[in-house]
Amino acid sequence: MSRLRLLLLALCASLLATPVAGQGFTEYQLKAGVLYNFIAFTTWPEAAPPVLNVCIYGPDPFGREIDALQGRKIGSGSLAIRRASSVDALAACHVVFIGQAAIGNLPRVLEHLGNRPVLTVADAPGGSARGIVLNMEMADGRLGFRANLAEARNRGLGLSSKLLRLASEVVQ
Amino acid sequence: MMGRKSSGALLPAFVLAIAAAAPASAQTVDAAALSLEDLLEVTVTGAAKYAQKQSQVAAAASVITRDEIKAFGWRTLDEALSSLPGIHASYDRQYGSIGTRGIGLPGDYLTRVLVAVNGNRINDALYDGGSIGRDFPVDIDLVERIEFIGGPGGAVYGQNAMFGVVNIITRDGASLDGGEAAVAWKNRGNQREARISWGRRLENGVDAMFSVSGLRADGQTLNMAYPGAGPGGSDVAGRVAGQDSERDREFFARVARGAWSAEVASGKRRKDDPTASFFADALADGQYQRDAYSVMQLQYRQSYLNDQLEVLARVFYGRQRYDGIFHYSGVPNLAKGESDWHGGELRLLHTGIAGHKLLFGAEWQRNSRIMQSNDDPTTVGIDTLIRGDGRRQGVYFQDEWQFADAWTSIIGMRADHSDVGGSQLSPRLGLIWQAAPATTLKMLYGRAHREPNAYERDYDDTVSQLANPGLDSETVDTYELIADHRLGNGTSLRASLYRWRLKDIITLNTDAVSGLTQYRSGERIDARGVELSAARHWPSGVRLRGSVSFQDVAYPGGRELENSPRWLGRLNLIYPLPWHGLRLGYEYRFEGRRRTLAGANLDAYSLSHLNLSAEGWIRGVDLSLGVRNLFDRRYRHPGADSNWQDSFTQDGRAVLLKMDYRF
Repeated sequence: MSRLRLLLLALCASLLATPVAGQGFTEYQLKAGVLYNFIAFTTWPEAAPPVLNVCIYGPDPFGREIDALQGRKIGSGSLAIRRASSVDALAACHVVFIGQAAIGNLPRVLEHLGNRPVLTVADAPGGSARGIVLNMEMADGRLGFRANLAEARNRGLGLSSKLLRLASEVVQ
Repeated sequence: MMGRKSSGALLPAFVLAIAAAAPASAQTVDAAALSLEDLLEVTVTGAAKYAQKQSQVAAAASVITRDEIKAFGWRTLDEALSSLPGIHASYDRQYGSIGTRGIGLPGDYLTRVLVAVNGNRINDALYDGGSIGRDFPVDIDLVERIEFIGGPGGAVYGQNAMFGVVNIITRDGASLDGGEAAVAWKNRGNQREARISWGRRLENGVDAMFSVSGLRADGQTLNMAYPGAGPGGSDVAGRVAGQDSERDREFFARVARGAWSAEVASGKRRKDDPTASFFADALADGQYQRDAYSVMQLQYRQSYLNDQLEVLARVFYGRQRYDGIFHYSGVPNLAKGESDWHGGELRLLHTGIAGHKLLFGAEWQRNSRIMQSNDDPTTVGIDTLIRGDGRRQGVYFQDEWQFADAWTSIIGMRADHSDVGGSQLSPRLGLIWQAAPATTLKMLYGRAHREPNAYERDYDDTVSQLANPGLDSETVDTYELIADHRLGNGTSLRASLYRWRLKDIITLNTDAVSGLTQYRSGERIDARGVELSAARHWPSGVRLRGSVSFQDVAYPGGRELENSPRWLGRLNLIYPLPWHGLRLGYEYRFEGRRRTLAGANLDAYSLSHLNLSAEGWIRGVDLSLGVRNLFDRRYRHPGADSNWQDSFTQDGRAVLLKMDYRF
């Protein structure tokens, strides 16, 4: 292998690494960032509301990390973070994140949401098979996700082609 | 963190490690500014941190979650706990029990394991036994998770924590988030269960829940043998119907707000006795044993000094009632055992000195009433009545000191004093080496005690058993080496190598002069063992864990311990099926040969259990179909020295149906 190719490879590698370089993300800092991206690449059936309510159902695993998204601009609107300890508080939510500690209540949450256009997000193994639209999963210290397209269609949500391309698996 | 904060009082290091793991660093990194492609390339440091925190616990700790309980269809704690390495379950057609690391002598109350509900001990003030089978006062549907900390926990938890601590963390109002009703049916013994629960976290922060459950079982018609129960010591055998029935009920309520929580757990179980235990009349109808437990606590848990000091204060009350009817020569004899206790505990966890995690605690318990009686109605008055009371107090201290980047030492000590056991010291020493980010090695030593219970020490009816007021406490010393390793693909491995020595074990002997039984300090018991386990989670929701345990437990001279299988094998698989919401839980258990009190060897056996569960097929309804002992294997467990029988045939295949409804 020529010296030049090596140099080029090294350059490419360093360029690729730049945005990521050793920031020491914690798991839920990363998940908060991914959640933001999920929302950015999802479209709701009606005109985008000025405020998108992002609800964390059950014990909040993010802590302060999710508050960084409070009021954040997205498209023409902005995000509002809400914490919900009961399904009754989910009525006005556009996005519902169900943490691992509350995943046992997933059937109750899904029954409560019906077919409404709500983006459901979780980080529980097997979540997408249980009806979560976008389920984050950790493997080898990296985050991936599965998309349940059938469930998204069911809810009238649009997932961008980019999202579907980056998903480790798409449930049709 | 909302939710679990106020519940897990018993296991501070463990619970705090997990609680502390979530809101990690103070620096705010704007992850949302990065593109999704970049975020998916990030290697997380926080995930390892979580693992590291948990691996710093000074013991081999395991957690069984509600999801697993559901997936495997477990209905009692002993079913769930015996999926872990080094735990074997036993059943004598009266009580379910567990043995840990090879010790589970037939007929012993569960006195060498501390069992607690949200940190509140269930081990009562009379028999000192933790309940783990159907007599456990909390319905397993209300369990959020089961924490098991293997090995000696005496340095923090005191009395009973000799071979492990089982702490049940219950669900709360937020976890219920509405109403639940459940019904279940098991074909064997026509067992019916029902439960109704309700809970909610209200807008004002009040979290409330309550639950009532009941069980009825007709019981099985059994072929029973009673060697030596006939006239002149002849053998009796027969087919018994209606003597295996059971009725239970349970009540649980909890209310919490902010730092405060209050809860009550109460259960009552009556089990008819087909075994004629305590050498009662064989084949006689109407013999039973009944147990009732009520435990309650008021807890305050709050952080001070910028979260550097956590204060836990609690007061508790417990009440235990036992009664049994045993027929002797056709006369029903009523045996009773009752105890009441109350007390308080204060625990401070301080993390303000860099590198140190300091734990201070003090516990006080008064056993206000201990009563044992026996009454033969054909004689005047109560034949035997033994009353007692007592108190015990303990103080403890532990320092977890991270003295170098990869090294942590643990030094702990608990001093207990009781009017029964006198003064006892329970030290703990540990060294933890984070050899690599994914590899932890632990070297641990611990000593733990239990004082004789009032039954062993005081019970004296002049016809079967003599008291022994001078009975000593038991002591166990344990040395353990644990290696934990995590592979990136969701796999974790653990190896544990241990030795323990139990001194002054309290066992039932026969007095040479009177011919009556008496509890005495027995022989030393030595054990060595190894537990190898592996677990893997796949993103698809498939979960697999398995373990192999070898435990060699012997009296001096090498005589093998009773009811102590040398080999245990466990395999637990959860597999989501491709049809919507359907999951399979499969368990395989291998149990080595067990020795009985009479010296017989009961064959090794392997069991398979299968559970199929479906959620969301019908709105609000979860269904499950379980088959226990799928291949209908015949196997036996040893009997106790209070039984006619040297061993008991266990149940063959059984089918369970369960329906849960949310409203």
